[in-house]
Amino acid sequence: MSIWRYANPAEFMRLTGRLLPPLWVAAGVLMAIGLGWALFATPDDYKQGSTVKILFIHVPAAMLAINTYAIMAVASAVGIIRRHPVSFLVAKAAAPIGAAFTAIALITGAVWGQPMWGTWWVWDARLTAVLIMFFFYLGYIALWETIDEPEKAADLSGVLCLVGVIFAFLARYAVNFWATLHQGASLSVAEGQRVDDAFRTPLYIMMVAFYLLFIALLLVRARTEIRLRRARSLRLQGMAA
Amino acid sequence: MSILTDKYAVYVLAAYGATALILGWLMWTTLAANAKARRDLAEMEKERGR
Repeated sequence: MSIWRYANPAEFMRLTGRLLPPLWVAAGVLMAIGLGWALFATPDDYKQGSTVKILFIHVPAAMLAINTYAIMAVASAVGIIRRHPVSFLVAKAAAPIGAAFTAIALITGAVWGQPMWGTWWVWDARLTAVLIMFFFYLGYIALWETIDEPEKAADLSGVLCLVGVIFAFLARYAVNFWATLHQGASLSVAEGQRVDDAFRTPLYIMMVAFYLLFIALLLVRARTEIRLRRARSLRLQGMAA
Repeated sequence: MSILTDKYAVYVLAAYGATALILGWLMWTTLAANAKARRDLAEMEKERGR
């Protein structure tokens, strides 16, 4: 069975309609468990004090900020190459979610940075790359909104998304290329564990909860886009008749 | 140890508060837009069937 079967809008609606209820429930339950554990059952860090609790939202949000951009780039590339309408719709649906997670990562990072670094912001390679990536998200959303013709908007915004991939890449790997103020990976298999056991399990739970929330939101937004396209198509048919 | 009495409490609460606001706004706009699109499409299909 080909994966492209699910690029058919009717098949996509049928499958996602069944997937969404358990996804919402799983995301909500895991978020509640993760938040309770993170806020009330983890100790304060010996250096960072209670600001370490910001880690439980900052790390998942930052991961999703970068990975959502990667998903958009892949979907845009597939859309441009294979002309699958659902690919463009997935990229378009993902953009506001990615922008929101990027804003969360930037804000929580700044709020953590003030007491720990003594400043809300530094023009560090990773921080700057994430900020530019945030502007690419906003530009991508704005481009979709300003062009009336969906096919043209899809192509142009897809190209813009692919241009911005370099900043998603830098946001992820800048800490490996340069000596940045931002610390390296919080979770790393290759270089040993960076986060203590006491924080690791609730962090993993929050990461899974954020990812499930992301998938649920993405599917709902993609379904909305499919309905809007269908409505537009019916309107045009009515005008032509 | 309590996050409400710690000297960094305001930072932790600000971070979680901002996150809750952004996620709440995102979920609200997502679900509202979906409900509107579903209503509009159903209305259109009904009119077309007449």
